[in-house]
Amino acid sequence: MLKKINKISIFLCVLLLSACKTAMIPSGYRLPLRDVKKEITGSWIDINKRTRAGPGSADTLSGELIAIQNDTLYVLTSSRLITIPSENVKNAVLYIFINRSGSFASVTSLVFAPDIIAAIANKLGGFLILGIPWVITGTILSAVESGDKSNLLIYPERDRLIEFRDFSRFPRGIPPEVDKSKLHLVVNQSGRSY
Amino acid sequence: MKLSLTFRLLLIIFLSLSSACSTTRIVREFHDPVKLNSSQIHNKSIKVHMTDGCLYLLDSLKSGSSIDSVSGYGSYYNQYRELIKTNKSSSGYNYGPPFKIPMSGVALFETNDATGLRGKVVAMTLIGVPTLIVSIYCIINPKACFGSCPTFYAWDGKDTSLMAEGFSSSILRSLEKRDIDMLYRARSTGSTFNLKVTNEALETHIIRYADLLVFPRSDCERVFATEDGNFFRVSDIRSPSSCTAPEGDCMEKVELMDNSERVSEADPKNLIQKEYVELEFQSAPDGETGLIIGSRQTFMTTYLFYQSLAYLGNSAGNFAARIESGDSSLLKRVNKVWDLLGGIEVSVYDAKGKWIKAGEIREMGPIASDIHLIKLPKTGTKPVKVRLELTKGLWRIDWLALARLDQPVEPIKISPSEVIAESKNTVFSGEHPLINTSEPLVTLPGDSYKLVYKLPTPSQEYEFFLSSKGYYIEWMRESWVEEEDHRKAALLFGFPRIYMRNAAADFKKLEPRMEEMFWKSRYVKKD
Repeated sequence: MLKKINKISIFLCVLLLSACKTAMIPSGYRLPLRDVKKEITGSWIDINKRTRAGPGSADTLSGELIAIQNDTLYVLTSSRLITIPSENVKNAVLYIFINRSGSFASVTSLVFAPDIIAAIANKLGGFLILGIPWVITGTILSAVESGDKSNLLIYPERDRLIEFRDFSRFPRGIPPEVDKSKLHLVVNQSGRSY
Repeated sequence: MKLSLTFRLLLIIFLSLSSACSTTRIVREFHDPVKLNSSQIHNKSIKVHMTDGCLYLLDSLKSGSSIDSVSGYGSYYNQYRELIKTNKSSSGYNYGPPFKIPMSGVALFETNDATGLRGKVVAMTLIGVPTLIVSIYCIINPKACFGSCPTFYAWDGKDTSLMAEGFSSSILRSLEKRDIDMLYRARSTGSTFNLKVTNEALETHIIRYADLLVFPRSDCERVFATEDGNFFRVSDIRSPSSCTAPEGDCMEKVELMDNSERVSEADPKNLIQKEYVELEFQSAPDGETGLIIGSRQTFMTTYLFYQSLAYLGNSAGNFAARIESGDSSLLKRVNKVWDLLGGIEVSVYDAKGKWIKAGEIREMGPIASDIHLIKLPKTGTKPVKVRLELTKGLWRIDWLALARLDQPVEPIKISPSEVIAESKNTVFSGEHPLINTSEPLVTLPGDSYKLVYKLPTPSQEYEFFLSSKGYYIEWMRESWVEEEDHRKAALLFGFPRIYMRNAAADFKKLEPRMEEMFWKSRYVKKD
């Protein structure tokens, strides 16, 4: 039972952490849904590594997932390419795209704004009532979207590590022609023409 | 079909949740170049992963005559994701020759599809766009929104629906008067009959009484009221054999009381321009007959009323006070405006070939249709020809029929036995306005009361009428005061004929959507 509670609490922590950490991902890797098909890199990943200090302790690292081959994860951090044996991964979160709760909230506010302005200008609460159905819809969609974690891969609670491979820069592994020391983060993906 | 507010809100929440619950996912698929089926990736943007780690990002893949290569437009990146070459501009135009990619160098084709996105966007669009349209319309034309009189709802056998509006023309205490409205579709629920009265506007309603007038009746009988407050039991109700209006045949609109209404547009040059609707009845029932008219006004009177308040601006209170203090000349001027607009005047064609005036309906109010009875003089002609004279664009006619007046009847008057303040969930049954005191019930925007009436014989079927008396005070809006213009106010009340010509163009701009926007913008709705 304790193990279950532990697992659930880790899962919740990971989710919470993932929500807060979205903002810490470099802008080039924070892609909206519509831009995922234009992504030229691997997705951003946060990993908690097991350490020798004990089963409860962990090291964290973040970077672009370059490849998963031979039970090893290749993660490109801001400083270098790091290899991590999959058995050393305690938990991991991969960000496929940023969820759109912010967009929904913005659109809801923008559409409701004329009602607010009119209510203040005319001192007429009726304008606010006109927008109630819209605010309900926008708030529900925004709230549900912010709780929706389908934009993430979460190991080990929900997804298998092997599924992360499809979202790496080299899904079939790092080709021998690649000079690993030359790999670098692509901070701005807007340079792509398509 | 009318839906209650609670149901509509629940529907919105349900639709939002159901669309929101379809999670948005990316379905990423990899296709082996050896087993590539071009139909799987046709017309899709595609990533081509090369064996050396380079990447083509293409808008679509074209397979040529050769199976050894594929081609497409887009961008080419090296292993370090540096842009090497592109043949597609940022604005989406292709230029130069397409990339020709040898299949031998391809490791994988990658496609990405987003799922679950459409439901959320559709939900937001379906609710957001109408909301925005109504809001913008009401911001531009605040006089088209947020208005009504005391509004009465009752059970119609299936739902609680709008049945009547009380004393619409009683806009000041000195104009307070009794109003009788037929509750045509109302049905009792056992031993009691419930009415719900709401204040859905930015108004103060002062309701002196709201009594129920009931008449025991059988299935094939109905009771209707004349304009002078007399009630007749009627039978042999006949639809006209023809209905002709300026726009042509209007039979379909007037043969049943079904919310399908005959309405015309206001004249573009003169708001008091009259029109005629002519009816023919192949034969009249024997005995005394009457014309049944189910009608309500359009929002033209609401517009003119609000516009007059806007022109009076800050002096509207003073204007009203003068009338309340007994300034009869001012009251006469106000009445002249409404007289010019007029009611529905009913005439009958007699044997001498003349139109004889039979009566006139003048009941104001654009919210609920009321049913009136006009006694017709005996002409002895066949067919019976009836003519309605009315102001263009001012009336919505739902039902026209001829009936035999069997006998005058007297109502049983019932005052409410209970008044329930719905917002406070408080039941009043002793000394309370509307029940047994002379104190009026005063309601403010958003107030809602349920009135409970005890019926004399529970199993009996009744015809129901509402007899209400009171007045209401319209609240001035900031946006109206901005339009203060005493010259125009003087023109309206001094020379209304000229004003009605001048105001036509402005009214015509709002006329097409006033009805729709009013119903969408009501301040408080029934639940």
